[in-house]
Amino acid sequence: MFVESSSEYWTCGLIDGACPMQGLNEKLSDSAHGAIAQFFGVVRNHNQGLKAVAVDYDVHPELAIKALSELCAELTERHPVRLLVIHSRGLVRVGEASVVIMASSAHRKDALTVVSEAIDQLKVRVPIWKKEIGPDDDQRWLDGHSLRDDY
Amino acid sequence: MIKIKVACLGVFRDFRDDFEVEVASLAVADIRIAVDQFLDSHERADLRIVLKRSIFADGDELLKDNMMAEGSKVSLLPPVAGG
Repeated sequence: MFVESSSEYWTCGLIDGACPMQGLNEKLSDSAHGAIAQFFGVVRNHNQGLKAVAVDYDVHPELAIKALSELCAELTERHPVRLLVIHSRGLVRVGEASVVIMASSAHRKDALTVVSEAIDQLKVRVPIWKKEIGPDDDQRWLDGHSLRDDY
Repeated sequence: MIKIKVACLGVFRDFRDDFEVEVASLAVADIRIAVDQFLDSHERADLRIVLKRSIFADGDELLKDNMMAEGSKVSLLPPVAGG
């Protein structure tokens, strides 16, 4: 990861290119935890009726790591989990992961809840933008959620 | 007049990586007006629409329109779409 932040209970970071999809469980290691939930956001080959071959992610690293850290801190304060969130910057091709969220907890409910809340909140709070790239190198920025309070 | 460099993110990056505007004060509302005028002068009505839903940032601080920028550079953040 080119930028990373962590506490006792969570780790978050940004990575250039696709996210790893294996070898991440050690970040959640806790012998008291009997559940690990994971979410991989994977680039798909279509969106809104158009074909896609990749997504190019633009990121404001300072703000993104701050927003991810705040999100992780909030979630781990409300739920007894260990949490890992990684997001891509740059080109991610179809089938590759652009975001990884993993949570472990003593029982399944907390881990599942946190993973779901984390991806929902990430999409509306973290300064990341995606540009879809089509098969003919046609490119389109996707609209998203305004960070302005009044929009 | 004060020169402010505006760093572009997301859809604004296709326009420029950054550009400079002149403002009478470091009030974010003034910076927004100057950026809007700059986009208008470059006939980017599409980006003027996006600007209305965009927010400025100074380092790792989001700037509401009733705030003041502290430095000579701000970032222009369109609506986010991660994941």
